Amino acid sequence: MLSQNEVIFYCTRAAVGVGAPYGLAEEFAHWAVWFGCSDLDPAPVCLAALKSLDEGRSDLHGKITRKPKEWRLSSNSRKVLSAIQTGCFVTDWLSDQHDDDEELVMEEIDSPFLVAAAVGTATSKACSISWNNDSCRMNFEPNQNWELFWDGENPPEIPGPSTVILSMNPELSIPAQLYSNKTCNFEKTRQHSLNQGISTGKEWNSIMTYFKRCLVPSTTKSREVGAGAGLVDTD
Amino acid sequence: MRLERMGSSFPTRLSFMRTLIRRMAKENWCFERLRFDVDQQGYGTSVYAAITPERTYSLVAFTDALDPERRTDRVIAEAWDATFNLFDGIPNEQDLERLRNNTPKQEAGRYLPSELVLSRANKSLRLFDHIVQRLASGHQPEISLLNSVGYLMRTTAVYGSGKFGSADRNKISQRPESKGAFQVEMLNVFLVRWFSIDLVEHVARCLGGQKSVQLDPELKRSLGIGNATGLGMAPFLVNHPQLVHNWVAARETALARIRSLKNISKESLEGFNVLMKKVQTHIGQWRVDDEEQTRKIEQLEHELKQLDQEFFRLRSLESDYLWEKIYQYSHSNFSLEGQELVVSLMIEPHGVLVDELAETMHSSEKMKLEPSMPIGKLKELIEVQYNWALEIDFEQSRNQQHFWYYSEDKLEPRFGDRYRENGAELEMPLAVARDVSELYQALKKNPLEQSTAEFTLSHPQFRRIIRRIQSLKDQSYAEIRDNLVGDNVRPIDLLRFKLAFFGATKFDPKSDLWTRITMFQGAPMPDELSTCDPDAWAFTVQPELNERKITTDAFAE
Repeated sequence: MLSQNEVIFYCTRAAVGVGAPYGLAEEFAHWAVWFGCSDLDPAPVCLAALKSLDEGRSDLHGKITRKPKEWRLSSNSRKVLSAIQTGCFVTDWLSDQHDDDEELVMEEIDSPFLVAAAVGTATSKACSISWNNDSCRMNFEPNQNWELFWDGENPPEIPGPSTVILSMNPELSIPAQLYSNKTCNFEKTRQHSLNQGISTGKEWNSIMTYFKRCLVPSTTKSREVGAGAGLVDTD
Repeated sequence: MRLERMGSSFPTRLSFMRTLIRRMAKENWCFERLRFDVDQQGYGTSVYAAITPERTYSLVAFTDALDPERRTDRVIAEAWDATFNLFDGIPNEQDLERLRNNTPKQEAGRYLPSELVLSRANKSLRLFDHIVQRLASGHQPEISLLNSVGYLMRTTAVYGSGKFGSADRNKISQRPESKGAFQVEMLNVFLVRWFSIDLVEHVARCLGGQKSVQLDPELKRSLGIGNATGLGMAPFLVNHPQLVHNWVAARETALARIRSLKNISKESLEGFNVLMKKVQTHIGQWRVDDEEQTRKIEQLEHELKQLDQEFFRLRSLESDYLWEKIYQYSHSNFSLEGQELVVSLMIEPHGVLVDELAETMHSSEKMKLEPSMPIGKLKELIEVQYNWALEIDFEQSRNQQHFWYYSEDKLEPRFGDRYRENGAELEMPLAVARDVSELYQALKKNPLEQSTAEFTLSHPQFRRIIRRIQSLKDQSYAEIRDNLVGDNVRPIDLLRFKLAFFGATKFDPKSDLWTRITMFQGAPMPDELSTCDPDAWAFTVQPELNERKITTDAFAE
């Protein structure tokens, strides 16, 4: 079990370890905590995003185009867009006022469920996010409670790339094929995580491998003079 | 906030140890030693409880034999004389068994959200052994030795806020007694102090039997807990600017309230006068090996004499706005340490006016980007609020001489030379001034009407510094207005600033990278809290060196 603070510390640096700047990495780490606070394992989804970036399949640079009622976010290159950048933009987008019929369409995102976590972390408004050709959908309430629907075949956490659509209209009807669902009373699960810690699966070890890239190897000199106090202190 | 002034800080009555002691006295906290399974040499398991009106916190202490060669104050240490947890509630046998298997390993152990703090301490061998021998033979210790050390144990790390699986700050941040900054960490240290004194008396009693005596109450009170503070505190200050702003704003608000007083009460004048004499003794007893600090202490002693004369002069004139005049006088005539000490002195007699400000010294705010802000406005914000950063020429190598990093060696925070050591590409993001400077250059190359959101999409490397600038635009004390990677930076200035807010005194710099301090020296012991003045220990004075009555009361069995 990990504390929220540990998840933040390790995930921030794991993202930096695969090339994300600190500003994006810190926000990414808070989405990892959101998974834990939602009684979900943060490791698989976070690892997918980190791995995609590390293997050069994703880009951190995006561009935005606007049409009436639609914002469209896409990668600046031929690569897919990293969910780590996408989640940050979603956070920004949600902090502005939008009409119920406005949508943010995010093209070819490497780890769509991570974008949902960014929405969950950022929003205090009702909204809906879908991905994998609408085979997964998540509705958020203003109190951060959420409901997740999927088709029973494609697990929500599978990596993309996929187009992700964020809508400010959570009243959209749920397609009949999305018969699996999971609900979360966020405050209840958040309190549970504070009292019990956040559980992670085997993918966490790979995240820690990325984290360790941020550590500077110790040398005799740095061990002797890089920090205060001596190697033996008696008084 | 400049580094040099930060490095001249003194504690005030708003400091976190002072706040805790006041709360404990006001709320009549009770203290109980729940367990003391310790052998004749002092090794074993102990539990000490602090019982608040709402709940109980327990210090769980494990003491073990330690090879002198393994005794180091560094993060990289792997064994200690004593290791501790502050437990949320009262631990049962299962909890104690679990902790027994983890706490002595410190960072290598794992903890649960029932543990609020993890810490460790090493004995001052010369003082601990001396006191054992003296008490065992029926005598009190040599006061000169006791004064020169000041503590029986010295903590070398006090971890809170979710470290190694322990409780996150969010678990306790809404509790009245732990809402303020570092209150559970301070409670942990306060209980370690009590434990350390119990331990030395126990070992003395085992050695001396009926002949042994207890430590004189005044001597007990004069013992604090030592602390060796290194680089870990510096990143904290840079990474929690809103919290730092709130700390400084509380202090500055207190000062402003006092400076605006036109008519000064006799009580506060007398309080200041008494305190000024006490502080002269306190500073006179502050002795360190560091030459620069010694020079500063000598200067302080001289300035305190000047202050005494000026205060007497102004008081005899029955002058209006006397505090404002004292403040102006110190700013015109004193060193930075002198100026900061005068501020602490002025705040001290005004508890009624300022103590409630302690409730504002916490923060739950998060830094947030303002995505719709045009980058032209962001550029203006930098020109107004970060002009100090734009004045630094980062083309000059000396202005990027250093870097801060985590070593793979137990994640120890270290400070390196960019041009002589490897690892600069992995530096911690603490170079705020440099980041601002680079952002400013990039902004100039882009359309000023572009939104922040669009700019960060194409320039993700600047997201962090933009978020910081936008979040702190109304928080004037949030930034350390200096270059933290320059060739002349002294990390110890950052450490002293934070330690002063803790309430530490008698800073004893050992190099530019670390300092020793003493915590809770002079503070009431747990059994004195209900009867004492909880603020009387400010600028504590050591016991006199003259003949003392030797207590001969044998321990009551």
